[in-house]
Amino acid sequence: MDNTVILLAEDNPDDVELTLRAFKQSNLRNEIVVARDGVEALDYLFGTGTYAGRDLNTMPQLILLDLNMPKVDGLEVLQAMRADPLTELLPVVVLTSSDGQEDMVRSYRFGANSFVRKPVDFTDFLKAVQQLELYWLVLNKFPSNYEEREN
Amino acid sequence: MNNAPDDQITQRKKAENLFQALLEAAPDAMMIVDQQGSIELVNTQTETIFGYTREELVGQPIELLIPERFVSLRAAHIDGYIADPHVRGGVGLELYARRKDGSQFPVEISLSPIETEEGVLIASAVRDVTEWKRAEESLARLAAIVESSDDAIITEALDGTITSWNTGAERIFGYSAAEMIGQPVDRLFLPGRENEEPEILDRLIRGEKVDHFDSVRVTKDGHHVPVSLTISPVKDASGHIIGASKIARDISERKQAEDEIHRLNTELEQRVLERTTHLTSIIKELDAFNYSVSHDLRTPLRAMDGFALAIQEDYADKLGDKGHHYLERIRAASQHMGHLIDDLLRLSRLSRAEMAHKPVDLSSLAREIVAELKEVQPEHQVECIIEEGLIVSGDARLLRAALQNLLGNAWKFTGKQPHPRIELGMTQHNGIQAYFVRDNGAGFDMKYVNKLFRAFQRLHDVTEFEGTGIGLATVQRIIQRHGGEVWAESAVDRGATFYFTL
Repeated sequence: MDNTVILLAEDNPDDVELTLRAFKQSNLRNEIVVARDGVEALDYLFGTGTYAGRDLNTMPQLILLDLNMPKVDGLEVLQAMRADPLTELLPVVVLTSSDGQEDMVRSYRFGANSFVRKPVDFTDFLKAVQQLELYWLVLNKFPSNYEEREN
Repeated sequence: MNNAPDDQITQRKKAENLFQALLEAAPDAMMIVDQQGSIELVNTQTETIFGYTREELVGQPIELLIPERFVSLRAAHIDGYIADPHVRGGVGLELYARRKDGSQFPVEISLSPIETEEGVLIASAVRDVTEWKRAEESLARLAAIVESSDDAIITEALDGTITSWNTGAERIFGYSAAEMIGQPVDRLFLPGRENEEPEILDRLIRGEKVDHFDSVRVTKDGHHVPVSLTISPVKDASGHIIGASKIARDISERKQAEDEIHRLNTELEQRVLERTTHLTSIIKELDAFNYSVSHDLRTPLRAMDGFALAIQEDYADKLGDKGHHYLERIRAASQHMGHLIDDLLRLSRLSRAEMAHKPVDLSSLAREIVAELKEVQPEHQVECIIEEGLIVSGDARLLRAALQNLLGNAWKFTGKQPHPRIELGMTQHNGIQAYFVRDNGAGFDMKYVNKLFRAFQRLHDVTEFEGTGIGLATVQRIIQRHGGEVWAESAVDRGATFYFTL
């Protein structure tokens, strides 16, 4: 499972760096792909744009999705994913600074699997990341091969 | 054969009988008076009307039947009459006669001369007009009422022809009686509402009265005047409806007042609508602002805290104690600001959250909150006295937040007290039930009491008691949303009591 990928869709470079640091500190071995906006995230997921020709047999085991991103925002990414058979079942954790009710409701409505608010205190953030890993990468089970599911 | 005298006598007797019969049949008192004013002959009516017997009257002067005040008048009258005798009536002259009992009554007298062998006699017919006078007076009174009325009082025939028109009608509609009597009433109608009148007349003919029917009429100069109509049938002596009487009240002023009220209401509604729209857009802006505060202000704080920690972790050996201390300060400041933002957002959400009004048990809420406080800080041993059965009506979630702040404050500010005590209870304040949270903690100087409930105001050094300064502002917002008031009493080091009404 070490070769599985986590897709981090996050536009704020500080948050990217801190998230990567948190992953590193919790000894996460997965490859982490960072998308700086919604377009990049969709390009990676569907092998388009800068990710044209990418092997689509490798899909991220977890997507950490920020909501406020330039160009295409998190909720739009989520909607596009849920509308496509290739990505409709991928686990998406919304990871955002917001705790707005509306953001939560819309995230869940569009098919988010989880909604986590990023705490200000990095120590708390680290704990949150560790729990996410434990839950989504270890405990939680998802169909690994889409062809099996199709059959 | 000369029976002519016999015949003549018989003839004459016959004539006398006929004459007597005629006299007796007359409805009036008939009497014959000679030139000296002496009564020669009276009929039964005379006896009835005047209360004398025939015998008491014949041979008596006519003055017997005339009140003192008219005696001189009569003398002149009779003399004048003798000088120029002709048939005449007494209409138009206010004449009175006197009965045997002295009572007087209005009469109408007609006189006619009778030529006889003994000279001119005067036949007079005296009519008691008491009833007629009474009727006339009452009619005059009614006419005066009609004339003095501010309302238009009009009568019309069944074909809609106007038969009477009072001063009120002149004033309201501008037409004089002369202009309107005999004219069709539909002159007053608004074009397009000509059917109103026939419908009303139909209702009248069916025996209905039409009360306070609001309509509009056109005046002589073309103005429209709003009127309230009361219409009743006019019946003849046999009960047939022969027309209608109409009272029209000018309700311009009432209508104006109603229109004004309507206008003001519309204006008010419009203003409320505008204000609401305005407020709605402000709330939307506020929502956007809150969102941006929550999201955008927190992100850099996380970076400050995260990277400060990264420096501490990665360069621990190069920092020295001072370096660590400064980074700790940066992290503490970032985290404090994070809490400020969170509290501010919570306060803003509390202000707008939907409220439910249900019975809330403040006592049990307080016990839960105290239990939570004890769990977080078990080393702080506080004596808690919570009055049982404090049931209020309000929003449980909001009241919990208010109590959390008040009890949390009491908990916090008794932190340095050797025997801390917190109390929740009920008391009377100016005849109103007030609840209170009392502690024996640090208290505050009453001269700052007006700053107490303002957001971000703190009366204690942050190094002494931590906090963001939002708690009491939150409490006040919640209590105000319940229509209540909150106030506090305290002295430095003597504890504080927070009162609230709901």
